Amino acid sequence: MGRGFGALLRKDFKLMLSGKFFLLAAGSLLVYSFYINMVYVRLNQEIYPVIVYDPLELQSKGQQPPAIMVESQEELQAKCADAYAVGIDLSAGMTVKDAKIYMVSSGIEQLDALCSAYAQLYYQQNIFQTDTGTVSYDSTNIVGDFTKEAKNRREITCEVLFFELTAVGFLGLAAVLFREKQMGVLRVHGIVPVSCAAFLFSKLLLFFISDLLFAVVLTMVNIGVIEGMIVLPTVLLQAGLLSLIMALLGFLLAVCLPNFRQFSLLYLVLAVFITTPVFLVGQTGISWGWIIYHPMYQLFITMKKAYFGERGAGLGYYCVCVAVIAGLFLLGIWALRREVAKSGGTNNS
Amino acid sequence: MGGLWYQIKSIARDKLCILTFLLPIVVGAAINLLSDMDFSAMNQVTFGIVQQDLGAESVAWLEELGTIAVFSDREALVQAVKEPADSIIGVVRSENSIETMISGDELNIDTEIAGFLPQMYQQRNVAKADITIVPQSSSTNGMKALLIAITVVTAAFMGCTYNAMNIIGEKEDGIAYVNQILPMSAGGYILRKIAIGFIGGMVSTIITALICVRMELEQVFLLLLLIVLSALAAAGVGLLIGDAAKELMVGIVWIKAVMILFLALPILSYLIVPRNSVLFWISYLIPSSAAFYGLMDLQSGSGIGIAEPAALLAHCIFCILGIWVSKRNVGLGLHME
Amino acid sequence: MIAVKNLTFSYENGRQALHGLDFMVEDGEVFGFLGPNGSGKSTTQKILTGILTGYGGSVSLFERDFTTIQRQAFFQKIGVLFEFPYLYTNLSAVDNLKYFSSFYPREQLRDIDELIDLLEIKRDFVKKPVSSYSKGMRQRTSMARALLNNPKLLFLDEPTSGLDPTGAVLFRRIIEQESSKGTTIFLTTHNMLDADLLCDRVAFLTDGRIAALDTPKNLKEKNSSRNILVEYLHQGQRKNQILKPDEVGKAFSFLYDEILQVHSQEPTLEDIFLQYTGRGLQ
Repeated sequence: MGRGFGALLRKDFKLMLSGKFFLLAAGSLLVYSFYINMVYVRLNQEIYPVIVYDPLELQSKGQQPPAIMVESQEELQAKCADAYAVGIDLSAGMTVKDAKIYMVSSGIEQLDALCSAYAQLYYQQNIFQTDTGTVSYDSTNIVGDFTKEAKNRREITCEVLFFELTAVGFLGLAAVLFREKQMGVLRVHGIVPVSCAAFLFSKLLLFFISDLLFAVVLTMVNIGVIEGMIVLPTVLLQAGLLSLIMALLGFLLAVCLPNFRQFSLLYLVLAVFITTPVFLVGQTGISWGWIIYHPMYQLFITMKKAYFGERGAGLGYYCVCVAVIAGLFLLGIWALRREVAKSGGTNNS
Repeated sequence: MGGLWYQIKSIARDKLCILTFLLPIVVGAAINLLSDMDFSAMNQVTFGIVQQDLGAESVAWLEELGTIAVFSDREALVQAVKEPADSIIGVVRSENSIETMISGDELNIDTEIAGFLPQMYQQRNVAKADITIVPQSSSTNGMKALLIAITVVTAAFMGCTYNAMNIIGEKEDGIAYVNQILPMSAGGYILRKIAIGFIGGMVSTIITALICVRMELEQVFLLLLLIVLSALAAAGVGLLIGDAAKELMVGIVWIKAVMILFLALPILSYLIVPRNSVLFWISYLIPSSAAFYGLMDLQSGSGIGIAEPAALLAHCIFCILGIWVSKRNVGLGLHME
Repeated sequence: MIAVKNLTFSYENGRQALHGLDFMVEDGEVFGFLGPNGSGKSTTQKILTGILTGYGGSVSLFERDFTTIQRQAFFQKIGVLFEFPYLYTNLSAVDNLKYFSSFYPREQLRDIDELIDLLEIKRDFVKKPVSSYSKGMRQRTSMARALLNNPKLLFLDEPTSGLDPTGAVLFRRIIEQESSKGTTIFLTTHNMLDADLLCDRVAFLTDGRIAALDTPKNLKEKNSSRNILVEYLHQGQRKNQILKPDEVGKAFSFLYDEILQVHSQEPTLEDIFLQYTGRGLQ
């Protein structure tokens, strides 16, 4: 039994190697890390730029933040055309009441109100030096534990790992199995004295280890070694659960579906319709009440909590995960037995 | 071209192609159906307050500037502010004024607003300047426009799936061998295969655009021009993928990689790279960039320049010429053993 | 129709597949090309159908050097049945035939219904996707495709492979009909029965060289030992004895100078199959 399982492991490892699985994982790691470090951590959004037309030179110097000066009303309007910048036209006179605020609507009434309130405050403070109290960021209470960069790093690393395990991990094991199906060797296993459980377990073990390794390297490289070490135990627990669930799901579908074409259909549905709402709700301000019943959302949020060092899910969550893994494993063995028992050629149509 | 009907019939029976065809249409419809609120929520500032803390007048003032999230106690508010998925600015009472709280991981805009908010509050009843808010030429908000552009570009460039899958399917079924002995020139072959991708991509894109794009009548012609050129360029790309991929799995991986590249790069360069920089011009090397920029410009009501259609046309010519030269020299062998 | 002189071909990996082939195929002839796997049969057929280029020596088809031939006009005049039935599996037989017919001039085409009847493709299936067909049905549809354009030169690669005996007999009959119409047929096969029954001449190819080329009858005569194996029963025991022609001759009552062949009237396995299954051809 031990020798047979060793042979299965070696065979699956070689199939993964020849399928360039590790190369693909290393390439993805490189691309993701490059994107995180070069692009994502730098993403930011500045406050609305202020465009000032001031032919009478009323304004004081050294405004904070500095305004963009223009030479004409046309230029002011052109610069405000992006519906983000806000314009102040001081050409009409010397008093506060003579100033005109010009802006193109963002399409959202409240956002326009906020933008114009900001413009009012800006010209009163910087141009007419009205006493509006001191603008001090120190008076704002900071209650969080992370800086913007630290948050961005954890957020995107979590997203990437979730995507990699959900979509790519799902595809990886299935691709190996489809190759075996295509070659016809899957049916040979029906007459070899190795159990279906061992056949499935060897694949699962290799993908599980490679997914955990991927998670370790991705986390260390992108959120730092010390911070990474702190969150890694809980991250690995979540990654392990997700990896097993997705790999088993991929295996089950690969066994049941006749060809890769149909599998890729399901893959597309999974990638677009199942993970997109999860990302939208998990990463943006969009809120849908029903999303809490979405199993992928629960997995995503728990992984996110792990990256942010928050308290994870309760015992119920882990019980459900273990039950799902056990159920999928048993289903996988059942489907595999049924498949190898089939006779005749593969259906490539 | 009499055989084109049967090629389309063959494609229409491929579930992957049907899903590819329907996917952007469904997404387009979903974007259209979702209210503006859902998207504006992504742009709007959210203020978190504690129940019974601020006065009614203060709450009404905050409601004018953003959305309000009410929490039962300060502890709940702090937890919500710390939540990394959104950027809630906590607002609490402080003697006669207000005090703000943030997580510290927000974008600069949210940090600045949190900093200014108490002063804005104090100034709320001061004499105001004359405010002119010009309505946008299109009612579409920025995020919705972005999603629409992504959907339409996806629909157009998904066209590459139809002919790529058709060519790969021919290789799998052995039809590529039969193609080699048919009285068909390289030009005729290319024309048939391009027609499949072009028709599929164009029909799907036009339906998607009809569902979710709203613009002035005079700009419809420009939109149509962008769609036609994009579908043609996508068909050329599909031909190259179909020719290069030796089996279905490789083909699917190629299509996915190309689609990710064709969608991610234009969005990133549109959002991050300054419009007149060299890097922005380099982004035109990806065929979908021109289509994406053109669609964003059309939705903002500003029309499109010559650069977008010219770049798309150049990509069409490049793809078709490239494949024609290779097929003319090696026949219709399509890399078969 | 086909004239091949000193034909050589090497693949990109340097392996020489053909070492100077010389043969001619006359108009209306059925020419068998026989040989074991890897002997160069497919390579030769690919060169003759214009799929492979870069060969050495000269090839002329339709009385013209192959290098100067107009490819589209050439493809209009030939029909090719590949070893495997290459068809759009998600289209029906009729759709496949209609699709492929769109490449040929209308006046040259055969009626699709007539071809379906000729190939005895089941009417219940003609509008169902090819993916639901048996291997034999696919091969019949492929043969219909090869005959679609009334070819003057027909290349057949293992035409009866994968067919049941009824199908094999049908295919042989169709090949004979085509031949009687004056179509030149280049038949590549492993099946000696096909070659024996159908070919006017056969070439044996081995390691890229023609080892023998003649009519099947001549080849058999030349290579026959003319011995006869007689199986008989003696005192309840089954025995056998090999007789030399001269020994056989002593038993014949008629006058002769030399016995050339002795044919057995023993039925073939195919005859027995038809007898037992009761499935006649007409």
